Amino acid sequence: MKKPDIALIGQPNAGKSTVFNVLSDIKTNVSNFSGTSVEIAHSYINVHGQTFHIVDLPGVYSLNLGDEAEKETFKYLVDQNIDLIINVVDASLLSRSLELTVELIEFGIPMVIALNMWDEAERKGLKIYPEKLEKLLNVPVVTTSALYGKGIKELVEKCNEVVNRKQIIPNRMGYTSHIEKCVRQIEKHFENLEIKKNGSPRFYAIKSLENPEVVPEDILTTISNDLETLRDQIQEMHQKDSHETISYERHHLSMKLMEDTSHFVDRKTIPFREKLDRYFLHPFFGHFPLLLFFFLFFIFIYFTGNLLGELVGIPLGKIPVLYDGLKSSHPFLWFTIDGVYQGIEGAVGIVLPFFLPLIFLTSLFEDTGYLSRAAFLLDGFMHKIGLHGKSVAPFVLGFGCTVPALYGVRIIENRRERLLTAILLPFVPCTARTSVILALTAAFTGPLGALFVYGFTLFVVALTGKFISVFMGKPMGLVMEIPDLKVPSLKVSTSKTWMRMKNFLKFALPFLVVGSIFMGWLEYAAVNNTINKILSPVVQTVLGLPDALGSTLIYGFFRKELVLVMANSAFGVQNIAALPMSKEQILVFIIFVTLYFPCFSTFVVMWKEFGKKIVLISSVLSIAVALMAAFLVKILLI
Amino acid sequence: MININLLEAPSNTELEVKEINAGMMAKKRLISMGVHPGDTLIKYNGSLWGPVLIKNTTLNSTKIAIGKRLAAKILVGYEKA
Repeated sequence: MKKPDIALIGQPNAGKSTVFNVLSDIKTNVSNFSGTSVEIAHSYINVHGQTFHIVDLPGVYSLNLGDEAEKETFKYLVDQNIDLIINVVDASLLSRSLELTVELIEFGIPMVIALNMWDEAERKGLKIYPEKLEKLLNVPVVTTSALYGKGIKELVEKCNEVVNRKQIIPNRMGYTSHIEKCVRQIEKHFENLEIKKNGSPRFYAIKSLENPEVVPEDILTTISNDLETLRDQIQEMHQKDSHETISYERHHLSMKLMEDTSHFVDRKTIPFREKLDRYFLHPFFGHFPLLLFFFLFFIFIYFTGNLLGELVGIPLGKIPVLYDGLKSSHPFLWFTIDGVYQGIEGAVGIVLPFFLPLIFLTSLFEDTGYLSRAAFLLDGFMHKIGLHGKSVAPFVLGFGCTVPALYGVRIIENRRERLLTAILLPFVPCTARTSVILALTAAFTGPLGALFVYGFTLFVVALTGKFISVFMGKPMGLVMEIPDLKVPSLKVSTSKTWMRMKNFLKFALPFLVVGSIFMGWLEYAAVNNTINKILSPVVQTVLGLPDALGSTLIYGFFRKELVLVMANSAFGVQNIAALPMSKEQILVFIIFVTLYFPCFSTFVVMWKEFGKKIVLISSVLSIAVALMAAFLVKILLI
Repeated sequence: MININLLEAPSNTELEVKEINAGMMAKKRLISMGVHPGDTLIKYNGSLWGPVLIKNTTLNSTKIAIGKRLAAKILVGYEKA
């Protein structure tokens, strides 16, 4: 029997992913994440012996395709088989959230509403009567508080009922008579037309007037004559264009729904969280908690990362002994096996120890809502480099690993800022590069050197941003929601971390292993000297470094942290402190390694997300910037 | 009622949204986040160079940060005290 498909849809910050995580937790037999995209998470749950397939779609404010996430969700909605929608509604923001609910009802797939953050609404003084909402919409409504696992069982039972009976038809929300007349006139054209996509004729009729770009081309052509006239009529009658008129009416529909189903209880005191928030968002004092936040963030990642690295490093370090004997008898096999080992060791021993605390902290802080406060405070600064506050979150992620950070860029709705952020991201030192920076500075210059490298790198990022933005026109205005402060749940953050880690490993591990095997073969073929000779003009003449470092840079393209190991073997020394280089040369080398060429995984993801032209621009730019920056350091220091 | 753009509007005063004169993209975004003509807003104390921070009091919504250039394109009205 076919597994029923259930899609979770809701506005950003409505707690969709939390509902999804809690739902996935009650699975009994199967669970996997077969999505092609990191962003769309899939899971299977077992309800009374029947398996449901659940997808967590990116948050959308409306079905009007504002940003990439909205486009992705909409694409899924119209193209994939969906038996039931769980509309996750932030109860504490009832009126605004119901605007999407009204649109989803128009879309016409059976639905269950999860009135989430129920406790939050009560705290805000909003008393909601779910049974009234259920009656007015004729859609089952379940109150949930997913962060604490409340109401999820009831939600599952309700879904089970609807999926297996399917006779619930939601009530149609009526617009004013003129708009209804226009909608019906368009709908008539659809009577004999077979719509190949999901979505009711009424939905496409409304969208044709409101926002034709979401309506398939073949539908639009059948109504093109009528549409122009009707849109002009609306403009004339309502003194607003048809998009504004319809969204305005929908806005009122949902305000009316809210008035009919809830009321506010007056609160006399300002809650503690609101007081705290005023401090966090204060244009001057807000910077103190912000600094403290970043300081603690990095201290935690640095220490936990090092500790975890050491813990995993010990058992991992014992593995090569097992196949060491092959080195002399079957060298090719040895290099291949060692490549596999290096790939796994790189992921588990070097990247994961830092990546894990980073994604855990990010998940935790995402749930508190503090990241958007940081974005708000840093917006002014980000403008100076041609970006805005929304790029802050991807940059924070970028300190962990550029790959998830590149996916994080999707939250930025404007292509200009998305591209600029994506091009700048590879310059932000990720954990792999951090390990190079910290190891080399620890051996040669001490912490001041590391500080210099970070400061200089960020300066280069800012300067490059400023430079590119000159060619890209003006940035689009910022519109960013600052969700209410919340107390995060350890359990939810842990399970989010687990899922993100799995997704990351699934994506990155194959590249790391294949890359490392390839590098092993390069070593086996003993082509290092040739590479060194070819790169000598750049390495020796421009940067003033020993030309034996040339081949290490090629390895660095696959995995930046391998630069360390390869540098050791290039000079035949056992530890980095013995490298025959001066302090100044080390700094030039670190700066170049940190900035040049995004690594192989970044390269692939960027290609996938932005196309080959952007990858090419990014690659050329990063090499040029790295050369100039390292050359500058050379002139300054040597 | 005094009409003024949101950027120059006084803070901690009830402001009624009159018109959004921004481009289609930004307008759609604002509307979908719950900033509609006719709604009332409160503007918080802002810094000189950061975005404008508002809250829609009609919806009792979350706070929304709006870039300065965009804020200058939103026309609001308020009663003089």
